[in-house]
Amino acid sequence: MSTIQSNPYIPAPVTVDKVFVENDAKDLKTFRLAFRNKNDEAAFKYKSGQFAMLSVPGAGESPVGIASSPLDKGYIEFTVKRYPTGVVTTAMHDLSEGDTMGVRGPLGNSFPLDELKGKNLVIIGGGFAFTTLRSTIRYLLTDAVRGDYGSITILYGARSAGELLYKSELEQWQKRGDLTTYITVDKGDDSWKGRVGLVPIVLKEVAPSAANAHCLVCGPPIMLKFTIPPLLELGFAPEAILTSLERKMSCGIGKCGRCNVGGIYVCKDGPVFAYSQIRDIPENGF
Amino acid sequence: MTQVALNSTNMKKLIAAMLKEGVVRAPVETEDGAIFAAITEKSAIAFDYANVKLPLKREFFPQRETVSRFGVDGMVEEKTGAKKTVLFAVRPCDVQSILYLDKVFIDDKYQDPYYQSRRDKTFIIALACSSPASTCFCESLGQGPARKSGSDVMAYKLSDSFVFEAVSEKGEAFIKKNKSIFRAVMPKELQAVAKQEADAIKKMPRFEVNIGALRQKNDPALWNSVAETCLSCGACTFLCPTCHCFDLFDEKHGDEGRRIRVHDACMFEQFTKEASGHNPRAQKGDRMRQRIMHKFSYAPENFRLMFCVGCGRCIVNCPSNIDLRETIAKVTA
Repeated sequence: MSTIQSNPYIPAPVTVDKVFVENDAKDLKTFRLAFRNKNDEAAFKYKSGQFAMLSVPGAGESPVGIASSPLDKGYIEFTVKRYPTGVVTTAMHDLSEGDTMGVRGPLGNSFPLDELKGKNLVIIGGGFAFTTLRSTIRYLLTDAVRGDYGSITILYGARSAGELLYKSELEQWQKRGDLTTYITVDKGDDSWKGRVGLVPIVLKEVAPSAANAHCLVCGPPIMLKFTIPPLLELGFAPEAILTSLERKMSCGIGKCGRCNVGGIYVCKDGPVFAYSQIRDIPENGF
Repeated sequence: MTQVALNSTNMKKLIAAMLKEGVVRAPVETEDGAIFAAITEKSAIAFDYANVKLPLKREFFPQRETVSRFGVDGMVEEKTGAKKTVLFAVRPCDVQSILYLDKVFIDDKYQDPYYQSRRDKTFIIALACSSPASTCFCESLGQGPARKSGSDVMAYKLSDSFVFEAVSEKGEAFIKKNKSIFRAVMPKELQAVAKQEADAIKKMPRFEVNIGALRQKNDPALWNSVAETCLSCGACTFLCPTCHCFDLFDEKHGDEGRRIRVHDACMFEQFTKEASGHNPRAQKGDRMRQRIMHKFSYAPENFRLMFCVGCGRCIVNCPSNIDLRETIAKVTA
């Protein structure tokens, strides 16, 4: 079988090792995948922020951000939202542990974490766009890595408590003394004892300092639209606000033209961009 | 580089020489106009066409091709099985388009093996354009009816002879190898070649693209107004020699199937519509803007080239008579 190096269109075969149902609506699942071939696993060296094309033979391929940390060994994880009209995501949700699928990648650029050593980091996520930020946080909280960065502040929101991803990890993070965590939901219920409020509102309340800080912010376009202005007001420079764009893609390698917006291809020039790079593109979505 | 001539009566000898190199594909007349087809020594080549109906990209990037096959054993790459091919009598505009597609399909990081396998095995003999159509505007884009770059050999058709000029080393070797069928070029033939080019340039209406002005035009209402009569049929993009957007999809029968690549177009609403229902280019004007801006703004940003060769196919074939030149003029007015 061909490896991904020789032909960039051929996915590496992986086994579905574990499937975690993430939310009450059961339309968000995290897939833990293990490479069938050692060579493919060795070749899949990735950084937080990158994505891969996930492939279910017969259904097709979809681009999905990598949710595991580059330091997680023996598996890679992806959190996938199923849409009723999404052919590939529906096929993935129908897979069981032990089934085979394909992975093509890693693709795209990453959060420039090496360049941000010594900085304070503010990480803001909304809804299921939290996946590559989860990869980033898992990486940053590794013992060998944590000391390279200053303070870490996490602000994560979802529509309701049942829609929060990675619940057991969120609990662990909140217990740690070396980071500040704000978890919020748009709408509270009886079971939710935590914070209630939209991400941009909570951001204004908690007002993290922009001094020596970069902000990594991922969420739906509507959240970005209302989160970026308060970040600018807090003193974050447009160059210090990093986000990740999402677009429909077929190839993931800058050829099929689908993810072209303005002069950039989201797949190969991104998906991670500084706000300063994309604020003037009419189709940036926010 | 070496220049030689061939009497028109000896064309069969040249075809025989080309057939020794591999499959020969040249323009032949059909009811729908000239198209590229495999020829034999007996075939009649259509030399006097303005341009072939279908763009040259299809020789390297077919409208539909199998990328891989899958079954119980996993997914296996499909080889193109590309054969050595001579493309004969290609218009310079179409040759230019392949140089542009090279930048997309064979970039520093990712080489498209399907495109490259065919590209590597192709020898191109271009044919200077003597009678451009009223919809042609290659000269306005700085290219011109006798542009040599991208070809291996450049040919000029005169009244009863052809002049050939080697452009690449492969072209030089081809002419040397077949020197017995050629003769020396006469000075009056070189004069005729120069006159033909000058006459062709004179025939073409001028057209100017103000890229700076185009980049300022983000108003959705303006773009919707120029796209008002667009049927979103995609003819302009399928027939464009530089448009290269594609889709990948799977066909499955039982346990087996294949992944297929097909041409796609930014003029279709579905092109960017996501499974969530969100569509970043929901309006016709957004899509018209994308097509024009990709060619005249984004490609220059990325490759220092306008992705338009001035072949005029999008103008000739638009069922709503939308003229790219008028669209750009209206938007930048």
